[in-house]
Amino acid sequence: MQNMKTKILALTSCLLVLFNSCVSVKLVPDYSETIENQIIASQKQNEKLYISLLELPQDKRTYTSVSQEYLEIESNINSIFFQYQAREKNEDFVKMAKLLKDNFMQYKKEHQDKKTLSDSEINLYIAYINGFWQPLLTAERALKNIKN
Amino acid sequence: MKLDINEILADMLNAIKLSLKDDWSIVKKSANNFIQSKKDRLELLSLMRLNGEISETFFEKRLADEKEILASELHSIAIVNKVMAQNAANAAIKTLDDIITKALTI
Repeated sequence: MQNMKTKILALTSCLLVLFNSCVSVKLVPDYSETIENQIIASQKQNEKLYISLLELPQDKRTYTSVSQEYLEIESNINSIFFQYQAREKNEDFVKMAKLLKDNFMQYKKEHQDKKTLSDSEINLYIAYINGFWQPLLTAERALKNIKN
Repeated sequence: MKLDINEILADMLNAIKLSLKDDWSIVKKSANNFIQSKKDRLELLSLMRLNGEISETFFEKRLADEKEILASELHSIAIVNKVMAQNAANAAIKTLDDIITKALTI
């Protein structure tokens, strides 16, 4: 009888472990410190691009003077986008990264077309591109709050 | 082994409430940060247009960007809310699990 009780308890414990591992809700991906650091570094690089333009006389603020920096930031955004796509439950993150990328490319094109930028335009580019970086960082940091 | 369903449901509800209470401040803080940034950006944009520092075309383009920033912010808030919902649901499941485990071991 005692033996039977032990077996039932062991079986129940196994079922509970199984229940625990199967019946947990997952709506968002796991937090990634790597991605958070990459978002911070890339946003900083993006802002630095515009701040460095402010240091130049207006006639020297050509697209070609910072084309390498544009390419590096674009590559970093692509990398973040790629990492988001590889995660599960990634829909919101992928859409945010797509909005960031599309607008970064738009600002890059405007610089190419305009040849040079005024102080006011640069300050607004900083404010607007940061408007696209901020939701990414907020969302990634929210994942730190997952309690399991 | 006796389980009181009403007591279990009350405990699960309490676990959800506690979890939501903890996480709600994060949702509020995130939304407030977005609103403050939007206010600062729109003030800067309006001021520069009024001073004639930017063209009408540039102004209109940035104004249109606000819609896309809002879309991105809403995705971000959705994630913060999903974290809150995930935590609450798992807190309730854990409560149920603890009750069953305790009942089985008595």
